[in-house]
Amino acid sequence: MSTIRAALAACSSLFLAAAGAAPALAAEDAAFPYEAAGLGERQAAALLIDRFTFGARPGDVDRVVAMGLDQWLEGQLSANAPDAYVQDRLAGLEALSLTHEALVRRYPTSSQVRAHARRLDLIPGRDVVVTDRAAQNRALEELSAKLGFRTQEEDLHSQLIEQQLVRAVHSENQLREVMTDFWQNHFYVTPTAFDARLWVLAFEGEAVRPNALGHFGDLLTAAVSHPGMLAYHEDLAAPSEIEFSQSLMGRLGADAGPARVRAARDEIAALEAEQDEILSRENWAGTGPNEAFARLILADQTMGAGGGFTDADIAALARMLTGWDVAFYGPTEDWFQGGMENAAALGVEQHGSFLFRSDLHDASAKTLLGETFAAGEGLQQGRRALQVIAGQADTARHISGKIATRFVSETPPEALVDAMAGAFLSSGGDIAAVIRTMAQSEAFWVEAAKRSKIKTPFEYAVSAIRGSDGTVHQAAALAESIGRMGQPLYAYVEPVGYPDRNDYWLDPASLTARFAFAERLSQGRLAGVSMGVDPAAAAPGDLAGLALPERDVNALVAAIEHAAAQDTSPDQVWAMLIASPQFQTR
Amino acid sequence: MNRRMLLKSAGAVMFASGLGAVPAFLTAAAAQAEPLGRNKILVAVYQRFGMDGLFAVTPYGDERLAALRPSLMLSRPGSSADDARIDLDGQFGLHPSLAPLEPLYRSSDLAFIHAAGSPDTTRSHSVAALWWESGAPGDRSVRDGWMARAAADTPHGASDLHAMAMTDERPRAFYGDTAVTSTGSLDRLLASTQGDLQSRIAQLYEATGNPELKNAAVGAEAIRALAAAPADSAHAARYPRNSAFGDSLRDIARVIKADVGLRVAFAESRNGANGQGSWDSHSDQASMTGGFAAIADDYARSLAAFWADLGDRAEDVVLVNMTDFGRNVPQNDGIGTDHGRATMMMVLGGGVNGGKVYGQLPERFERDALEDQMDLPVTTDYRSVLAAAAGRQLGLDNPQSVFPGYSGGQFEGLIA
Repeated sequence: MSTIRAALAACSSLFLAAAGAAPALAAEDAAFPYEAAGLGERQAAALLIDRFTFGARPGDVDRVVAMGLDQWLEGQLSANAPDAYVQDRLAGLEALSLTHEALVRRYPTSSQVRAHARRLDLIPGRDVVVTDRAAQNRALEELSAKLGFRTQEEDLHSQLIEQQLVRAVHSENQLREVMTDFWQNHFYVTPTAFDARLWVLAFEGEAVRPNALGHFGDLLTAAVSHPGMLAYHEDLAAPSEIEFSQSLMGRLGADAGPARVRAARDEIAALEAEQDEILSRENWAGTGPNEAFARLILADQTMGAGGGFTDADIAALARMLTGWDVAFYGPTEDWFQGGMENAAALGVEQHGSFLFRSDLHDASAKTLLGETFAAGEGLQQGRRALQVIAGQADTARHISGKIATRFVSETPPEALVDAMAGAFLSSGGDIAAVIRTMAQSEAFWVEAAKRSKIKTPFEYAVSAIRGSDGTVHQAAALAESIGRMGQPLYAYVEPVGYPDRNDYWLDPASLTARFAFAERLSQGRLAGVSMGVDPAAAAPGDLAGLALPERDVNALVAAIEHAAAQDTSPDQVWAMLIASPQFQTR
Repeated sequence: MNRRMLLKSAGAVMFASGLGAVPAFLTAAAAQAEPLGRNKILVAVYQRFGMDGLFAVTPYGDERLAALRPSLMLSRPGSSADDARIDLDGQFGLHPSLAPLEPLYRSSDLAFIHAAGSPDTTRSHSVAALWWESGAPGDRSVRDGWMARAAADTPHGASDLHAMAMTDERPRAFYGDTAVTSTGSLDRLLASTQGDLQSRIAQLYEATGNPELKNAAVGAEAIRALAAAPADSAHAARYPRNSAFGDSLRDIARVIKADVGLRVAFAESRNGANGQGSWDSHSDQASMTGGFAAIADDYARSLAAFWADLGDRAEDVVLVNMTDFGRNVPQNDGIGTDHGRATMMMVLGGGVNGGKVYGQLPERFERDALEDQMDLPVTTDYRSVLAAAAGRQLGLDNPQSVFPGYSGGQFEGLIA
């Protein structure tokens, strides 16, 4: 009896309390046990900020203390702070407000553009050897300009990066952004996979961020049924057919007659068209159960590698998820409508751009984790299965352990993870309750774990800008710098996301690049980013208090004062502070 | 110069430049550093997008092969045409753009292994590359890379630059549980480390109680000190200009000669000089002004320059290539070749029994002898070659264990 429903039945009163009057109630109970760890209130506030935000801005400790530490955390958990500046900045990013259909039409792949141009007879058909490539490219550019097509590789990707960095640096709802980063890396979808590239921004904005502090079961369902996740795992299971089609011509050989040439070209055209065009339903690819995806869900995204599931459970989950698919869109409305009319006629269930294709679904009865699922439940079978998985005790432990590793230390104490897993189960998978329990545990505050995590390059860069009270006007140069520190954004190629380990991020070149970043930022040489702090207006000791509030910085300040006495300029003093070992950890 | 000397010299450079006192932690690290002696080094280079091995080294007199790829035989050795192949042994002819490799072959430092590849039959670039880099073809549950596993199994000091990738991000082959120093440009990285400020920042790490940070800082100082061990300009001049691959090999040579503990290095040949050329030779492959010729020229000149640059350290180094797959045996009607199966591996280095073309090609290039009627069958598992190279260079007792699920042996007789 470890499903969410069982947990709800056993703990309904607790659950209601958590869902309803939670903040006030929790706040009353929630004196954080930092004094036992020898911390004062201001030091505790600084630690909370270091862990639950992307870094302190000058004055943040004062604000948190004035609000009360527990009230501040409750505010962050509810993520309801007005965020006008961020909203204003994001308003300029068109892709954030597009429907899926509009997204596809705005950012078709290059092969979709070519296919569309062929339909309009603007370029030769596939059976013609193109001799004037320049003319063809001109025709494609003109068509793209006329229909307002933009590129996934540049335009869409730059918006993905821009929104990520603007939110991380500037959002008032910092914990939601931190957890969005955490979950995006957990339910990892990457534009390095061709078929997922279009969807990463939508995935993060629709499946991840709205559920980042909500219920894990909702997050899991939203993630697994999002076109981004489905397209990514279809891509991993069967990579772009276009690539393979290119090998077909080799079957011809030098002795092939015209008939064989034509047959091979037709075959290639058909394969390309599968991606390019809305085809009649009988040409839609039929994929079987994706056990690799099911294994990933169980072993990495929910119950953990040592979780109590079997190969039979993996097989059952994979079969339950057969028929979960992404709507077929083309870059123009007639393509889309043609495809959907086809789909509707064949009884395909559509929820936004999620399709449930009963024709590909294994509708048989199944057993998963000891629970029986009747035949013919359709889409509900998979949805219910995800809730069952989300409510497992193993899931509670695995997720709690991963959260504790992110926020506390690489080796979080068992007792801490147990307490968090207990909160997970008793709250029906409420992520906020898990985080709250973590912060209320003594293990959260102990000296041994304090600032034992090395910031990732992304976290480091964002915290340096926040610590400098800086502004990101344009994110491209900043993103490039983060890449040179070893973390090109959204670029890890394994579906488990970047490792959360100090040694992954800390190598000599990465550290050297961090020093260079600190210098550029402090000297105002990082394009698109400006400093708020004026290092010339304060002594090194006071600057240290801004960059590293409530930290033991006496020795650091002495070293910097020594340097300052030898012609170190104020901006160099600031660079030393944000490049210091103290600033690398959280 | 050994690592201890290098770390000391790093301090000396700072001192001589008037950058203040030598950081005590650096002096301490230098004092504690074991003299590394001359370690052996493994360099793996990835040729992105699939090299046509059969085109690089061709049995030029094979008429059946000529019937399948008439445009890709090129002119026979001895011809005065500018696309004349270079005869290696009376049977195989080297592509003319690979001419800089001929002396290495003649001196027995370079071996070719034909018909090498992966047991997995994918023709997808991304999947094929994944198998080469993870070292576990067909097994998606292996999330790390063979180079990371090999590096982790190699003894090294905490602050050594023992694993290095000449790419900004970790390549897939280096995903895993070992620290990897990744940089797309050593020059750029070094340029950013110069000046008083960087020295003063480095000194702040003396006081840190975090051993991970301190080790990285000592390694960072070793990098910074590389600026005092500049690339040998006489040798540097031989690398192709405006060549990302050439720069990567030059940087690796520089790090090898600085003796900072390097054991495993990665570089990538994605384009030729000036961004021209590609191994993905779908069309216009035969032309001496085409994409294959451009990248092959860059590749060969870079390798030859690297070998010369290493000087007496060359005997410590083994360089081995990886690439997605070979190409179809029959040419396509764009005078190119599409994604196929077996390719050719090249092993260059000290102890290599070179000057030979290893591997087993079909006895008769006929359709029925080809895989799917069109591709060169894989007769050498790429893991046998990589295991032989890694085992010898890194002193691994059981190098096959770097490749999960691999039950084959090491390629016999290739490396002494």
